[in-house]
Amino acid sequence: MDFQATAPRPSLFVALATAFTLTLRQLLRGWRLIILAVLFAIPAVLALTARMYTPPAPPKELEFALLLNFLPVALVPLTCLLYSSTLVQDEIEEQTLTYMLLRPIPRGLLYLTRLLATYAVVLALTVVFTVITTACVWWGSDGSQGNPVQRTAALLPILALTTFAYTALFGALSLFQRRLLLFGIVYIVLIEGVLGSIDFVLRRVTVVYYFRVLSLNWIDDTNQRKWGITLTSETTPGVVESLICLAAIGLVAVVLGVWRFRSTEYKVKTPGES
Amino acid sequence: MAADDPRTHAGPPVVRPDLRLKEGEQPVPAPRATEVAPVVIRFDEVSKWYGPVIGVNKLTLDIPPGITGLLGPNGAGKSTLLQLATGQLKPSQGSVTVLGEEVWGNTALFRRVGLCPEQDAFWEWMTGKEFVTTCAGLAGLSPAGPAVARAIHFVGMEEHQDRAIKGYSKGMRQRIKLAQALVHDPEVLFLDEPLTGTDPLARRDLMDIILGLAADGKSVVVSSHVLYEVQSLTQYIILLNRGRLVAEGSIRSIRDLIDKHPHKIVLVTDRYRELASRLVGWEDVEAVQVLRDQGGVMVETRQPDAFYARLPGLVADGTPIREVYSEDDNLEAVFKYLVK
Repeated sequence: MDFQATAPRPSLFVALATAFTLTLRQLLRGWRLIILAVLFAIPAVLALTARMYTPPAPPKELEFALLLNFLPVALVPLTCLLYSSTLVQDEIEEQTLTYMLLRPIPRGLLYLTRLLATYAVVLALTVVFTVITTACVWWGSDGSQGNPVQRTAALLPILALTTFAYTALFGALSLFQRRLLLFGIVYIVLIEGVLGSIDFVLRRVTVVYYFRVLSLNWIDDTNQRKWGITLTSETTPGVVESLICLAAIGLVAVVLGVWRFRSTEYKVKTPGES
Repeated sequence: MAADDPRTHAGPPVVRPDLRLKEGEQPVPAPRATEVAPVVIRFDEVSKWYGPVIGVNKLTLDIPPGITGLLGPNGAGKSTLLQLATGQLKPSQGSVTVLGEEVWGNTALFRRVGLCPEQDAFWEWMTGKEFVTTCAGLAGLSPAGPAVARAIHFVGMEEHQDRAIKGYSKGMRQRIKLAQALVHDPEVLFLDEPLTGTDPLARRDLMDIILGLAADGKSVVVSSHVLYEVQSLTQYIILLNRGRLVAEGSIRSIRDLIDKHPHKIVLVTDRYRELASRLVGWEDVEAVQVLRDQGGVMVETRQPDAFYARLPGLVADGTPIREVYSEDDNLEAVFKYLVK
């Protein structure tokens, strides 16, 4: 059999594109997508229900509850957690990681590619359902409380950066922690949920804190008291500092994940092993 | 390389500790080098520990081109050896080189190496063709179509390539797994228990495929714990047990090793009592056992060649021997001698 006659010159770009496509296909099938789509639809349904009451709930209150709290504190991190846990662990459990590792793709690039595909899926879900929820929140509004288009345009980049930080964070954690789902839920509740809401210096290590500072600056500064954040305070980071911190959390997690994935041995259990 | 081709080897002779010679005896190296063969895979003082558990222990081994059989019972260290050779594991000690290059962390080497893993794992929702195409893509092949078609043709899966893998029989799964291993035209192929769970027909086909790969000039390392399978593929074997190299070389050379132990030869005859009484007097016979049920005698000898040479005289003297066979003639017996 003359393989040489048919084998084209290998290309790293093709290998990475294949890894990206494979990851997308894996993420877009199965129960996770259905569950998450249902979860993401909850804020929209709640908003629509609240707006249909007489008198309808004020759009800004709905926005605060659903888009500025429920989404970044619960839905987005949970989605990132569920998808990041599939990055490597699913391949290990299903014993298919071998097919990826035994290819001429540097491990670091393979991890980055899978992380990028995961980020793309989570971001797409977030953007689509944020737009739908925003439409429901502002449905029937006369526009006196604000311009929904402008507010959404400001919210989406903050959510994109928040999603990046969470995806990278849980991606890295998945390489250290086998029981990521349990660990991740505890992290979301205690660190992002509780610690991020307490007016104390430690909340500066949470993702949600920087999301809130940015949304106060870009969307609505009337929520300062609700979150216990004073924009004029010397201890409150500015917009640039918040952007840098949020990006830095994500980048540090990415570097940590790459290092871990490159240096870890993934021993495949054989049927003979107990 | 055909299965009956004698293999040559340049590595050091290997003798299991409990087969060490007594004072005054001449050493019998397992793989007797008749000419220097190039080394495809080299293990140099390699050890691998999983915490306190030893996977392989101070393994020094040179594997030449052609088909090499990697034998050992479950837990012998075969899969660890293959995972070390394919860069999935990092040696705790020593170095592993394939085609002259260090393996661990050397992703470029994977253009030249293919692995058919033991685990029966796939992206089950894919069709066979999608699976091989994905693996070709991961290897960087573009366009992958011709290479995929050739690989699928080579393993005889054209008819089933558009079916989902989850519906495949065991034999089909092994074939498609083999196709992904060779789609990028590797020079060295590692096949981890490729015949496990297959029916006799699929087994025969897979063996033909493996022989075909070697005939195409590829070096193939086949691991198995079923000895006759490997015996049909190659005369060159490596025996592992408990993470240690027990023996390596041609089956014939390894047989020389066990000639230090008594051979068991069965002579089938109706006059087994008379034959037994005659054989007891032979100086090269250590023990004689009458096999009433079979109608014959079993002889134990440390000089099988001499014993076989005397048999025609026995028949000429009028002893009607219907059949002669040795219980040591198959690899299973060799293996039992070496690892127990």
